[in-house]
Amino acid sequence: MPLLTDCRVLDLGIITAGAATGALLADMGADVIKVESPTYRDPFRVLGSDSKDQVPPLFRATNRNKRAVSIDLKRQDGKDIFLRLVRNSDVVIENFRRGVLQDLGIAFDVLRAANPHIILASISSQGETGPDANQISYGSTLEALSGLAWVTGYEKGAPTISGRDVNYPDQIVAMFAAGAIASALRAVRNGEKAVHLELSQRDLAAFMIGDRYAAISTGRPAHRLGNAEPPYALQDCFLSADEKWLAVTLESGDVARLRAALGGHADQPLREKLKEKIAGGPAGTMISFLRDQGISAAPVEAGREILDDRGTSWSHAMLDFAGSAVKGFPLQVEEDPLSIRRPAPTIGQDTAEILARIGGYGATEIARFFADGTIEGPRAESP
Amino acid sequence: MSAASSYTGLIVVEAISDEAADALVLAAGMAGRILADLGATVIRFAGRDRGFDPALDFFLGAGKEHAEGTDFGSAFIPENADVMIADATLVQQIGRAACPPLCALLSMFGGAHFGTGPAASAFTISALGGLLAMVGEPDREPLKLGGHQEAFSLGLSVYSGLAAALCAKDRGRRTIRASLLETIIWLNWKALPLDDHTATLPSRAGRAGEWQILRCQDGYVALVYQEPEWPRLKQALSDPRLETDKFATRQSRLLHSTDLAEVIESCFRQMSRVQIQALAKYHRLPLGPVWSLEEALEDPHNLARDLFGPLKNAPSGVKVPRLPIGWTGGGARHSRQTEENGNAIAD
Repeated sequence: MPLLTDCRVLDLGIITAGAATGALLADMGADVIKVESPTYRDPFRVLGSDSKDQVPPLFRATNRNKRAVSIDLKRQDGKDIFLRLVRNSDVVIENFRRGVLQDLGIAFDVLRAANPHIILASISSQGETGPDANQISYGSTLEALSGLAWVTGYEKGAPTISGRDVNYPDQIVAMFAAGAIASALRAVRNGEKAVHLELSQRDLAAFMIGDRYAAISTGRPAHRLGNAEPPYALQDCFLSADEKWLAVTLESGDVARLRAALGGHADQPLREKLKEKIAGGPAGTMISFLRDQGISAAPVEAGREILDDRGTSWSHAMLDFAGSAVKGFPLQVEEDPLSIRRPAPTIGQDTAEILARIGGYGATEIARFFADGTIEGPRAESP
Repeated sequence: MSAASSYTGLIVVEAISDEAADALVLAAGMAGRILADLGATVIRFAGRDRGFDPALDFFLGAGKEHAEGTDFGSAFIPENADVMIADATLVQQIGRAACPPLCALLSMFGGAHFGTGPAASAFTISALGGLLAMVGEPDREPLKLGGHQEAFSLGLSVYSGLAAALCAKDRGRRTIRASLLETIIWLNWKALPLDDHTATLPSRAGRAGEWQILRCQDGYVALVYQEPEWPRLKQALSDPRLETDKFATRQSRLLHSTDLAEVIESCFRQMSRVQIQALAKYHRLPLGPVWSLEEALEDPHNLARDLFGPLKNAPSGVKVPRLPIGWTGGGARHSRQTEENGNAIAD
């Protein structure tokens, strides 16, 4: 039985941080219902959109395995519908700008009144409180504010961020938030009442360099080290003769063995020797040479090269589903394998069914909501 | 019940064999640290001295019980243990049947190389997963993110899997398999072809990046914005050079991104980070002043949130970020770290 069987999630999450959290819960077996509105879409429905593809790649990647409803939460009828769904759900996820949930009239107290055992997971940039809580920010903004950018960068160079195409804090928070929601779910299943989880990406980014904070608070300054990393004797990238970057980590126990294998002048610094050696041959040959010495070495790969290793050194982080690439899973469960069961939904794809089966609405009411624009999606076929 | 007591009574064994890569020690340490903060009794087997900075031990070891010795016979696992976090090789050696019902197996590689594969470090796995290719200057060597992001991310992945398994309605045997390479690829998903296999894929752009670090009067600022913010960014900076045709559309700004960065940097150089932060707040811009760690400790937002706190078993004065889970409900108000027990508790 999948891990999160019998867990229903109303997923107001958008873009990456919120939507990927819901996706991970869905992968682990939860019934995740993506909630959009006739007046508001997940921006990933537009970014990278292709007119031939109704579901754009970015949206498709992080919303597979979900069902979808579209409800206008700004209308009283829409709010009533949502709260009726809350009554029959375990979790609500949101990563709107702070204050939006209150403005919509579905803040934690309202959800708790509807369902005394509900878990609200608020995934925010900078938390619910504090002077910067309402400050607009994206993942790399938070790298700067958290100190992560300060400790990232070339030696003696400027601080560095992961940038728009990684947006690192957005990615890690999804794994962390999925775990926190599961922890809260266990507590609720053990008798805890409704829980509001506050998950700040800025706080998480700081937590992810907690060891560096421990070091500086004892008076040791935090320097940018490039690719160097204590306690390793040497760690960096070197360019091969065929202009491929190779990543090498040299432990102290490797030094004598590598020196012997490299030969040459004993006085020459090991870094220079290694640089010369790698520059003298193609990447594949140099990787083999280093691995034969028991040294950690790998080519710096990108895009399609990574896909070439699928099956050998990884298998489920990205998957093909119905002829398209989608985001897979960071982990797997032997006894109950995670799987992609359904493609990302179209807007309000399951509205009618969800209102009927979870909301308990009758066909006449549902037809009225469709007619007045409170909900949208394909209408149920007449029996 | 509160965040601190989610896992009260749960006994977790954290054991990585001496042969395993350092990254797996750190990943297991992170997963165990989170569970310990949430109330579990975590027994950490020290293993061999790997030469880690003591700060790592303070941070990852907080709130745990420490068992010495590295003789990983099956007898080392307490009979009443509920969860084990271990490297795949160790579990293979002692046998899955000798392990607790819930077990997280960690490996550097996934696929056919799960639990095996060539010598690897977090750095070389980051290379294989493409994350290394995404950071730094395009004409210089690829750059790792600071600290231990790869290993700690694997720790988050393991935590999420264990947490889901721990709330499963049936409490049968469960084996979580988590590898560093799968985690890195999962994090770096935008760098892989999702649709058009002939399209240009992103890579590190450095000074040509849309988002990048720029100098200001007293340090650095992260230039971060999306299309909707561009008009407000122009308005905030009030520099006529930003009104020229070459910056009129996103496409043209991408073509002239280095020029754009120079113009914006020249504006930033007239302002301090605090002034830029105030400007960003006024104009609703996602600009990020780069705080040093010392500055972050004293940042008003972090102080207001009580982000940093002392650690149990660490020297006086050591402060680290608390577990970033705020937990309101059931009488609990907020979770934070305390010197008394090193756990997240309700206050």
